[in-house]
Amino acid sequence: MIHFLYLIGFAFIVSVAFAVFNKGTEKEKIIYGLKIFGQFVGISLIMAWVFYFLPW
Amino acid sequence: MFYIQVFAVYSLRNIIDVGSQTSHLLLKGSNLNMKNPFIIGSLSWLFPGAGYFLLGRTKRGLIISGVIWSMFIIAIISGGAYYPGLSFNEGALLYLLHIFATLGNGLGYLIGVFLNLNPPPDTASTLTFEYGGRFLEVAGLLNFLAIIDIFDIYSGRKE
Repeated sequence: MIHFLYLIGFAFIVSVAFAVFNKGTEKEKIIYGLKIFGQFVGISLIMAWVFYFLPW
Repeated sequence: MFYIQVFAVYSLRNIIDVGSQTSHLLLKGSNLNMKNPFIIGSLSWLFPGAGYFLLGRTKRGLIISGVIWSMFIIAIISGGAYYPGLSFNEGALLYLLHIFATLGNGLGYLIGVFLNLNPPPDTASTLTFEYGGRFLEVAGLLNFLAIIDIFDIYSGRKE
């Protein structure tokens, strides 16, 4: 569980920073931040399941 | 710590506002132009997000300094300061990358070095200290990005 919390915390903090650094309106920044957050969490979970089925 | 930084930067900004009326600030007997990009960059490195306050971007500064200091505090609580990192023998490039990334924390790097002088004996059994080490590195790298962003704003490349 602690690993997942670290994943969520890391994804949230980095997404907020990237969204702020990004150019565009406030709405575009929020959408960009949410997109990155989703990608961080989603891709990590997909990779975790792929590694789970690998025998080595 | 975050509030101390905000207070310090605001105090500094007031001094700069007074100094900007004469365009130069007298400091220790020498003329020091506080609008110098190297001074803004150095302060941004030492106190993450400080450059935004100096350029009048309070909201952006609050978010970025809050984010970087949060990451740093999580790293310290997780035992990241005790993370030995990679030794030079394990690969010079990885070792230098670790040093470069943690150096980005500025004042946080010095705090980390100070904490690492007396690591607790049960460090190796701590579950999260490797996560802490990674958080410490990423906080430093985010601060480098913030400094580049501040230079972009300063030079007018970004609004």
